[in-house]
Amino acid sequence: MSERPLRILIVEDHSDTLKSLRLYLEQSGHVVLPARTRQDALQTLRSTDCDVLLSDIALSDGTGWDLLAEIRQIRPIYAVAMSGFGMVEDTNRSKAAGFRHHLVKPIDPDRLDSALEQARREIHGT
Amino acid sequence: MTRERASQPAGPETAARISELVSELEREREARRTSERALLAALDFEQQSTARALHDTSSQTLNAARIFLRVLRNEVERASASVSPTWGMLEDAIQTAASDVESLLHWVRPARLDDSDLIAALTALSELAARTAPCEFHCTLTPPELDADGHAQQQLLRFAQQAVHALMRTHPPPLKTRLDLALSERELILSIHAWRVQALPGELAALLRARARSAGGTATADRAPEDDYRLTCRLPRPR
Repeated sequence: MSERPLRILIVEDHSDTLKSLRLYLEQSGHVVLPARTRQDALQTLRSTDCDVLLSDIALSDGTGWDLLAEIRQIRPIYAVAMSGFGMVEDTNRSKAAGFRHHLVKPIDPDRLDSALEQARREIHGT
Repeated sequence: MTRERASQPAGPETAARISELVSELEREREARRTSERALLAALDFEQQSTARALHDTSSQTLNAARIFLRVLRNEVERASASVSPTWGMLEDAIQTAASDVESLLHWVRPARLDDSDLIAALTALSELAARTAPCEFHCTLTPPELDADGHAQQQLLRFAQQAVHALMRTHPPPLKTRLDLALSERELILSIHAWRVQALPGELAALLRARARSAGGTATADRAPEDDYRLTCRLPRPR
C-alpha cells in the first residue's frame, strides 16, 4: 500500500474472524491492534494511539455502541461497526452512536476497504 | 324432547346452566389461548437461540474462511504465481455455504418489530424473500392506521415470516408470492398469495393457525379462481 497506513483497533470476540480480519488488514498495509472484549479495547486505547475503531456490535461484555460512547469520552475516533443485524433500525442505531459505517456480517472485504479508504482520506487527507 | 317442549322458552334453571356452560367455554378458550401463547413464545425463544448459535459458530467461521482464502489469493498473486482454477471453486463453495447459512439465519431468527412499524417490517421481509424468488408487498395503509395492539402486530409479522419461509422451503423455484396488508372496519388482514403451490403441510398450517389464534384472530387457507394459494390472517382491531 502506497498511502499512509491506518492504525486500526479491531474489537471482535470471534477468534477466527479476528484473526482473518487482522491478516487481511495487515496484508493491506495497516497496523492492527486486536481486542476481544470491550474492556480489552478500552485498555488498549488508553495506552496506544489509533485512527479507526472497527468493532463488532455484540461483544461478550457489552455492545459496540457502548464501547464507542466510552471511547468518545476519551478522544474522538473514526468508527466502523460490524453486525449480524442489518435492519434499518440497527443501522440507524449505529449512526446515532457515532459509527460512520455499519457493515453487515458476513463482512465483504471490498466494503471494508471502501470504508477504510474513506477513513484514510478523512484522517490523512488526499 | 318433544317438538312442543323444545319450542317452549327455557326455564330459569336451563338459562342458568347455559350461562354457566358458556362461561366455562370462554374460560377454556382463554386457557387454550394462554397455553398457545406460551408454546409459541417457547418456539420463538428456541429459534432465536438456534439462530444466535448458528451465527456465533458456523456462520462466522465460514466467513473467516472466506477472508483467509482472500488473503492467500493475494499472497499467491503478489508472488506472481498463477492461482489454480480449483482455488476459485473453493472460494465459490465457501461463499455459497456462507450465504446459505446467512440466509437461513434470517428466516430462523424470529422477526421482531422492536423500533420499526409493521409496514416497514413486512417490506423488509418481502425484500428478504425477493432475494430468492419474486415477492411483492402491497399496502395502502400508513403506520398511524395500524391500531391493532403490539402483540397482535408482532404475531402478524411472525405469521408472515413463517408462512413465506414455509412456502419457500416446501416449493422449489419458480415461486412467486405477494403480501397484502389491509384494514377492514373490524380487522387487520394480511393475505399471502402464492402461485403454483400445493397446500402447506398440516403441521405448518396448524402452527400458523395457532399463531393467529394467540392474537385473538383466525387464519385460513384457500384457493383463488386463478388457481393461486392464499393464506389469510385476520386479527381484531380495538373496538
